[in-house]
Amino acid sequence: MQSLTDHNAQGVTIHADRVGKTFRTRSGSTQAVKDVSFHVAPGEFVSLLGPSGCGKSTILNMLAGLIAPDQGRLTIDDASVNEPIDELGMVFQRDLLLEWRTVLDNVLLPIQIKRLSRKKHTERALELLRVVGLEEFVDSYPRELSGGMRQRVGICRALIHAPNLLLMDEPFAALDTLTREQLGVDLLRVHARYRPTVLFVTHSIDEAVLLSDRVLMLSQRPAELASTIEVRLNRPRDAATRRHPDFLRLVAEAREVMEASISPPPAVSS
Amino acid sequence: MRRAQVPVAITLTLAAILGAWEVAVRLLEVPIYLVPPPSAVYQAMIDSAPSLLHHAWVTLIEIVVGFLLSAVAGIPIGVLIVYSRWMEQVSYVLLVILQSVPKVALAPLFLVWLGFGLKTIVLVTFLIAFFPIVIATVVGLRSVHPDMLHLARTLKASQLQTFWHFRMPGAMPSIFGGLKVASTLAVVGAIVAEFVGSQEGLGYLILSANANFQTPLSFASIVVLSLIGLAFFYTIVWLERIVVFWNRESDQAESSFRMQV
Repeated sequence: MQSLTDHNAQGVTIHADRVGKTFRTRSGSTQAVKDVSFHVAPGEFVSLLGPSGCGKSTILNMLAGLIAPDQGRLTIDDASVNEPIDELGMVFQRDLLLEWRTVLDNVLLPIQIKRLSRKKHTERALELLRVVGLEEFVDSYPRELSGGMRQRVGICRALIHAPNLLLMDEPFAALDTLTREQLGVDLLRVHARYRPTVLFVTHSIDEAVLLSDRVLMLSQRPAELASTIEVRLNRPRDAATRRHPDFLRLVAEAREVMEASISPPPAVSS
Repeated sequence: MRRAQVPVAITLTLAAILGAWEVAVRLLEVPIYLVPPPSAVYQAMIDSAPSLLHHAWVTLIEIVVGFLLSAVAGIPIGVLIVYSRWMEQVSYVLLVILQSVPKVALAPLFLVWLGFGLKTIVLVTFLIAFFPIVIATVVGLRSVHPDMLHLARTLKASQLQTFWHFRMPGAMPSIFGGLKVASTLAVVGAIVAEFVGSQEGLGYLILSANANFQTPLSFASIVVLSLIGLAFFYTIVWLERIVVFWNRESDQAESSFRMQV
């Protein structure tokens, strides 16, 4: 069998230089993101960690090309992001499966939209489903699956066209803790195998530390980079990594940094 | 109650009601031209079977043609309302105004313009059945989750691909809801139009039987008409189960029928 890691090019490089975004509505304007600068290396797994509603998702949506930054410069492989790049896979908080398609057809959806060969990609789809343990559910419909299984299908769908960039917007937030931890381990395996650049938005410190090479901590809105934590834990990691003293130390450290750097909400001024 | 027991319970209840009716009419000696007993209605159905079948056929054609026209026009208009700003802001309002005009009040005008016969009746049926289909299509297409459209954009899906792969299938359960409402309204439309002016059809038969004090025949026509309505509604339900196979809500069809009737 052809090795699937071969034709999967290395992940993209991301540069964010003083990126900002302000939303204007009838009731006024809200600055969601302010002066955010970071760099992500090819194949790196980076988490964006911050309180709910801080603007993490806005950063992700700008990288996805769904919204444009209005300050600063955002590039993927040195090109400005004006529209979604071709090599993009995205996973949302909702699994967004199409109920009228089987699991396999859901995974192959990007192939159909991009008019690529279904035949060539079916094998890859089956392999992806095998990696996340869904080989028995290839012909099932989404309604027959549990929430965790559905989101696994969502991840396979995001990876079917061998994307160089995987954007994940709180993909496990709707799941219970046990399922969530299991999916984290699945994601580690998938990332080790296909090595796309991953940006992972979460508000779980444990999850961010377990999965990432680096954790970018964001402040409350407008999101500013509060600090960065390098996660120097050996890969491959798995469920046992959670019990490793280094893991526990890093989580404690991250929590400390977060509490110190994220200022409490400003007092209401009269 | 277990599912398999439901038909038995319905049959028994119906038989009890019919039995009570028969006994009551006979004991109270109600004249047959006021309220006929079920046995007399049954007798009328047997005696007038050829006539009933002929008129039923005419009405069935009117219902089906009017309904199909309303679906063929209603779904695309719903799509246009969702996709076109002009359609949404101008014609949507006009449609609502049109909907507020009682179609029955227009029927005599159509009679003047189109004359007695199929055309007039189909037009009234179409106008009555059309609106819920438009609304159901608009609601269905708008019910797509914004993230679903974001997903389509990250995949660089074209407008047409977004429509066929994401929006239209997602709208199907709602559209079938509209079709079910329309299927019962189409029956009403055809009968009302026949009342206003026709020489054929079950509506005509009901009027002429009433005029001649043939009340059992009038009842028999109503029974046949109900059977047509029921069969038509369940044909749509059956289609829905095939097309919208992923949607369990289609099992609620019976209860939505009760609400319509």
